[in-house]
Amino acid sequence: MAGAVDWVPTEVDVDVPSSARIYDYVLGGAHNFERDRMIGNQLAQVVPVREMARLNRSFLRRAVLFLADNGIRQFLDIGSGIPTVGNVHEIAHETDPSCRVVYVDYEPVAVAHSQLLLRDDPNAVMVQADLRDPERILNDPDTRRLLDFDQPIGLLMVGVLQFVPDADDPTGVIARYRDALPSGSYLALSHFTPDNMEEGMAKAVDVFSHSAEPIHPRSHAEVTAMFDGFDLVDPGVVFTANWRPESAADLGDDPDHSGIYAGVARKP
Amino acid sequence: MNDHPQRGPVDDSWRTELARTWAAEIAKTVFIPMSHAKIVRLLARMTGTLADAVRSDPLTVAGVAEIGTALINRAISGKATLSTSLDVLGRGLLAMPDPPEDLPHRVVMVLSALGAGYAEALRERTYISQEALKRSLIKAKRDTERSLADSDARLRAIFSSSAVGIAISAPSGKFAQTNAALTEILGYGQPELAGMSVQDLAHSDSAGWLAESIGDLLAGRRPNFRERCRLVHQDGESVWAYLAISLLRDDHDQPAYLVTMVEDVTELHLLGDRLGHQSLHDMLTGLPNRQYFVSTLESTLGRSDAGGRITLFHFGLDRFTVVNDGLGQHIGDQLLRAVAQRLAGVFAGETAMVARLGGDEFAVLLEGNADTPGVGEYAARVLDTLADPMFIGGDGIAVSTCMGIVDRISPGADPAELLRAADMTLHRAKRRGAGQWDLFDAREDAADRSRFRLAATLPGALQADQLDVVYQPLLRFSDESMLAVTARLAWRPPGQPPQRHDQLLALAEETGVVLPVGRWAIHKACRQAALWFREHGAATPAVAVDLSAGQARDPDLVGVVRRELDAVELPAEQLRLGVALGTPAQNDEIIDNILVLAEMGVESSLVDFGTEHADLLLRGEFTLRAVVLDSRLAESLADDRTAEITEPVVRSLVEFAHSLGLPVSVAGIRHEQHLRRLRAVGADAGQGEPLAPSVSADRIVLGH
Repeated sequence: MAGAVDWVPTEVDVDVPSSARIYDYVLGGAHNFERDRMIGNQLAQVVPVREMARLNRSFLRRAVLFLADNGIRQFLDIGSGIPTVGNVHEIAHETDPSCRVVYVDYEPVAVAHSQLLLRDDPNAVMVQADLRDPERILNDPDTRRLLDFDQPIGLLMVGVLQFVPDADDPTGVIARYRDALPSGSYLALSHFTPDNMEEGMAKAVDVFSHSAEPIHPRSHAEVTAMFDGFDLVDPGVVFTANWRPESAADLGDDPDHSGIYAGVARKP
Repeated sequence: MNDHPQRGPVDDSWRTELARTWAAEIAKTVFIPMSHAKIVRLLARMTGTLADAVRSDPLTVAGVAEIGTALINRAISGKATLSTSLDVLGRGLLAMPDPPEDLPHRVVMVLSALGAGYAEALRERTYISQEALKRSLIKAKRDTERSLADSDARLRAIFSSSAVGIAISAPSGKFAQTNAALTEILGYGQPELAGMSVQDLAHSDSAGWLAESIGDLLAGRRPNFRERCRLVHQDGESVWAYLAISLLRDDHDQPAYLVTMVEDVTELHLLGDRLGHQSLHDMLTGLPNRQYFVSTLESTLGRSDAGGRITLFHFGLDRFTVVNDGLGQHIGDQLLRAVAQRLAGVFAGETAMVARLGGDEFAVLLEGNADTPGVGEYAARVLDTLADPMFIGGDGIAVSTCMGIVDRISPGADPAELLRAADMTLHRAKRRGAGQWDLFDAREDAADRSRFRLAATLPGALQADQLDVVYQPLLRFSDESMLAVTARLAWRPPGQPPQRHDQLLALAEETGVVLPVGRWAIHKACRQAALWFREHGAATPAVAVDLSAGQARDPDLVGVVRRELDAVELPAEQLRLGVALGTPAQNDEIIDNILVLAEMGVESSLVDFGTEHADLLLRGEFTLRAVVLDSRLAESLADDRTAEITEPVVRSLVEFAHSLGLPVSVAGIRHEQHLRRLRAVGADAGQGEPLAPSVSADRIVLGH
């Protein structure tokens, strides 16, 4: 994406399933189209996708609260998707209403929806960009307006990096964000994995291969490598359900089959 | 039934328990964005409402549907949320303590209301979500359109404000749209361009290439091209441009548009011209340099329409080194600039190129017409204009030049051969003196060429010891006693006429071997002299060697002579040198050599004694043993007609020499009459056929 003629907009095509809308659907939302629901239903047959989505969303909430407890007051949420319930700014505002959030997504409907939703919120903004273009995102006027790069920032890349193929060097992309963040910043990240559900995840890869956004689940080691240059906080890279659960619901029925690794780390 | 709905402490505990169970189960069905404690508190309130409704009398479900709505509004709406809730609540409510009559019926009624409220709210929310989604979709599309419009606007801005000329045309090349820059670059207005096509812009020398390139685009042999080429401005001036043309195809892959970009690089081109100018012009005079001249000569000769009279002038300034050495190089440079201007002035108005070939050499290539004056006229004009003094640094300097001229050159001639011919003719003119010009003559040229071939082979002959030395006695006229034996070089080159001593020295002067030839002659003479000296002792006549001016000025001449004498243990007085004088600069060195050699005991004679160096002799700065009459003067007495004219001159020269105490000898005496005349004018000694022939050393008879 980087280097492409970025003023030619991405086309809106409701016939092409979008990961943002599939996520919305499996979370129980209604901001989706038939094609999205079809993929969502296919996924549900091969992996516990609703549980995975719920646990992932739940991890996001706990991670944001953790960051807020650790003094983070500004967030960069990349791959934020369709705003549903428990959006980052809402969670953060539970701690401190002055928290500022920059959402980033490249899916035009998600972007438009977020912009409509955030229209009247001075502390949150939606930037349309591809996460593989860190400089574009980091230097976007809205980003610069809302975020102070002299203060620690919470970088959220929750459930999005599995859409970035190895060819696009996701670890390298993260490093470029890392280098732009001040010391004391945090990275919260979650990522699809085949660990403990190889067969199901293989089928899920197959299902996604029919969408515009194929997925690339990664191993524990690969996900851990994404935190290069950060110090992981306890308990390290674990399944979403096992990341500092607060209730039985957070754990779900079978935490070790969450299908998604999660971790939070601090830039020293 | 009669019981009033009443919440007692007993009731509270089971409600709280039910709420906890409900919260635990429901949280597994959906992500609820609030803390678990908060969920429990929320559900406890709802459980209370539901329990109250079950107990109400008469049964009223008011407020129950709103619980369903509240759940939906809080997004507690997972796929299994309702069924899980109904399951948990149904079992919990049916197990309530102190149940009213017909409890199952009441529970069913209440939960039905909850379910209906939930479903209605869900339907409502889905409707709202889809509406919102639709709005988002419309916004996204509108954003897309706006950014398309923006990008279109941007493209338009680029199109209209670009400094690059842009044209969109039909595949035929006919312009559909052109921008302001293009009209500026080419001088045509938009309406004019509308009737034109890309191909019309090209200069005639680019037109064929352009048409061919566009043909390649249309045929799909290339997707685009970018070349520097020459276009024509509306006013007819050339415009140098980078021309980039791409072909855009439609959905069916058929040629749709040609997009042409024109970048004006005329200024770059001019800069390139300037750089090119520097490589083609002489920095000092600004005239075309040799390379440029040669290539123009080549193209002129190669041109089929070069029908006029083509003449090549080759100029070599006379004694330019005197100016350079005497007045300094900066004066020399200014002089060259002035000469360049004057030469250019002479040929202004003609189709001519005046060039500086290097050093003090200039050339003119003249393409004459019917009115062009002849070469003699031009030669005179050049000499006239140069004779007018040029004032440089306060000094008025006039120069003359020699000219080699090749006239009426046929168009097919070889340029290199022409340059050689002009150069050769120039040198022939120079041999005649300053301010001379000569026309190329094929016959003389052939002679010159054979002479140059000889000169070229002389170094090899010297190295191979192929030169001979012949000896001729010098006899005193009064008593025919042998005053000396003159050693002379002779060379019989294969397939060429034999070369006498003076010819050989002249050849040597033209090659790099002038000094080696002189040293070789001294070497041979000393060896022979030593042989004779050993045989005949002190009475042996000295051996004389004649040297050219170039040899006589050899800075190492004294060293050479000393080494040769020492090598064969020859007394110095047994060797004599005949020296020629040359230019004033050479003469100083020659006189130095004569003086040092005289101190050593080696005496010298002046071999070209005439009027020219009389003043030098008068100054008496050096001592000579004798003078040898200038060969042309001496020869003039061999012929009756010329003798009559020159006899008085020769006589007075002889008298002049005698007045200085110098005997006069003569070389090359041809016959008895010649001898008699020489005796008559007072010459003292001589050599020639009537006295004794030139022979090899073994045939010289000494001691007579």
